[in-house]
Amino acid sequence: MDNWDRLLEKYFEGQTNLEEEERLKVYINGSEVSENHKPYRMLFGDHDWNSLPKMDADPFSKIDFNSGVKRFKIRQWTAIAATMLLLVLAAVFTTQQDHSAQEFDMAVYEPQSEEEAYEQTLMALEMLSKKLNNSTSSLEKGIHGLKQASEIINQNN
Amino acid sequence: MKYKILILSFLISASFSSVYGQQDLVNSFFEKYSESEYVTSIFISPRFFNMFKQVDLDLEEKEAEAIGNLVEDLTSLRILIAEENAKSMYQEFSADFQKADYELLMRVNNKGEDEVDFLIKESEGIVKELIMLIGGQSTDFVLLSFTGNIDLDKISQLSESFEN
Repeated sequence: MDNWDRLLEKYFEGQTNLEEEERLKVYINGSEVSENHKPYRMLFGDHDWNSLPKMDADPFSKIDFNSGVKRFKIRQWTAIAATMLLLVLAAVFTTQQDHSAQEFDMAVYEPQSEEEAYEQTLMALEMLSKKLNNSTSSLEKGIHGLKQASEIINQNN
Repeated sequence: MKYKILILSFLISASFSSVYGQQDLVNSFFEKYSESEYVTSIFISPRFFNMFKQVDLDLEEKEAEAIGNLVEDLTSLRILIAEENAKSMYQEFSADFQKADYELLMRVNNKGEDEVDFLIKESEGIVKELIMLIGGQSTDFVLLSFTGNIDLDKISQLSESFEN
């Protein structure tokens, strides 16, 4: 016993030679090994390096990136806000362009003088008011006709 | 969550494009037809209406008052008259106006000769645009568009002063 202890001590101090190490290996892996020397089998065993547990291929796969959820959400909202802002700006920009284009186009149809413009306005107003009145009176006629028709139907019943 | 955001952004952009992307129907009609030889198009801009208000116009008093009252409320006038294709242009405009938020106020068919439509665009109970549309087999196509704060009563009163 003491003998093996001393040899182990010597081994840990790095003082053993190859022959002594071989003897230790045979003893510890053998069946006569004492109970308190059994843990050393790990040291003296024939290691099959391939049977060791493999390292994960993706070392980051076990890291929980969502542990910072709050921060992530804020970034998401800023992204959305930025997109919205872009949309709004684009909309405003395009409409302003449209408006200026329309105004320019329409200016081509403007009359040359104020008198001309006024005459045309009057003409349009006259036409509008006459047609509006004609239309309402013909509507009234139509309603009158409907009333007569309904009276006749009522009398017949 | 992500889908909701996607849908929301789609809705917002869609509403934007429908409100702002929609070109004025009357203007697009101007653009499309004013090059044609048989079409007369006139645009009286707000600039002119401002001038009308400032200048004393020599008209008979009664007429001037009625017209002055009406003109004060107007901001622009667009006139488009076509001597051909009256029916097809009328049909084209009729097919589109509902999409452009116009309401049909009145439609009168005069014994099959012509049809007269009055369309309005309202905002908070005030008529902001009035369109008169005439089309049919035997007439010219007429499109009148008045913008401003429009009082229909004033307009119908006006015809009396023209008749005198």
